[in-house]
Amino acid sequence: MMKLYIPIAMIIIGASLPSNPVLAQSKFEIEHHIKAEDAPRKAVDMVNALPLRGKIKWYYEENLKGNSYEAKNKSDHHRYSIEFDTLGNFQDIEIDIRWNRMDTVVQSAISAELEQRFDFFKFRKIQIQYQDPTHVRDVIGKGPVRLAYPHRYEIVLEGKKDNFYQLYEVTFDQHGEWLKSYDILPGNSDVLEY
Amino acid sequence: MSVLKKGIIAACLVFLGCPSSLYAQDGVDHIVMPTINLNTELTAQWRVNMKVQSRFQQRTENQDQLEHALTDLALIASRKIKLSNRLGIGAMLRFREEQQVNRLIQQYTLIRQYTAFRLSHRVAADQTWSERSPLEARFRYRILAQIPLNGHTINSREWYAKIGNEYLQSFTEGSYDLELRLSPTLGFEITDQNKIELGLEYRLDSFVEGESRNRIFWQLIWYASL
Repeated sequence: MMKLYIPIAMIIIGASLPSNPVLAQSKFEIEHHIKAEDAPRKAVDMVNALPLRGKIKWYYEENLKGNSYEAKNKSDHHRYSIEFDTLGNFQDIEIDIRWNRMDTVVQSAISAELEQRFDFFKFRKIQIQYQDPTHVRDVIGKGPVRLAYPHRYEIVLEGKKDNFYQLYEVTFDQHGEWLKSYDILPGNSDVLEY
Repeated sequence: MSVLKKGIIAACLVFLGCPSSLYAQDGVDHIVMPTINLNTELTAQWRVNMKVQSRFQQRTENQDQLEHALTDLALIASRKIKLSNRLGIGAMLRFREEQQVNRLIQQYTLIRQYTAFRLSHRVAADQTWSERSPLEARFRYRILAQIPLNGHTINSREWYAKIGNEYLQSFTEGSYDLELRLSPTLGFEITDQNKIELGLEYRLDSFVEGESRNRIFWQLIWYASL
């Protein structure tokens, strides 16, 4: 009897499962850990010349914005991500910061904007981003984040719109003006649920 | 060291790193448990999971041979509550020889993404009955970590490790039992929709009252998203 149940059940359930195009494009960022020698020489030389303590890990990233190389490091209680294009040209440096380390005027502007756009939001990660290569050496190291240099804020948040929750990456300028946002497509989590 | 070599070494650690006593026949039941786990999203909120799982155990008369013990068919529908929380309800049918066992399942899952790994908490309850057995109610909690073996995220053609720990409380006609489970697993993501896992699950139960029972389930699982 059991031998009959299994194929019948599989056929019925299998036939009733629709294919899902959303899942087919559910990767937002593909990140490969690489060796330093596989990254562009120009990028490696620049990072090696910086006063960073600890290990520097290199990654090749494929994402919706294009491919890039990224050096990651944690030192002096800061987490750094330095991004380069595929030719090794500097793109930006991002430093993880806490909400309470930001200027209160900027906090208010960002909060007001997010309250308008979302029914609910919760910060997952906040990074301050510097895009001028001449400032890189000045913005790393011990002490508070350097707000005197031109910067942006890149925030990953959990947002609720129209009763639907999703992860977003939103970017604000240094005054708290909204610049852009990306939807972060969720990764498949079946292996953690069942 | 290539990703493939790392994976093979990790696979060897899963199987060979266990105490050698586990391979002996003294007091530990070895069960082979292949599983097919199919998932699909019906809408942005609703998802359905179907699982077919069989158990093959050592023959009593010849422990070098395996025989089919049972097959489970489970179906769970779950709804996204917030970003990474899901509430699911479902049912399972267990076919063991000529006997059919029925189970209702309720579960809540919460997944957290950290810099270098993902962690899932699952709180579940189930009720099991059959013609020959009284109603058994179980309450369970599982913590499960998924750790990429290359980089901070898991991509296609990359290996990952999974380690889980589960506690199950069981109530049947006034008697109580506690079961502990520990499961180290090695997984390979073929694509985002297809994953293969190889590992074991150690289960210890019946130690609250009476003689404890030790079981090792050797698992091969295929996860597919349709």
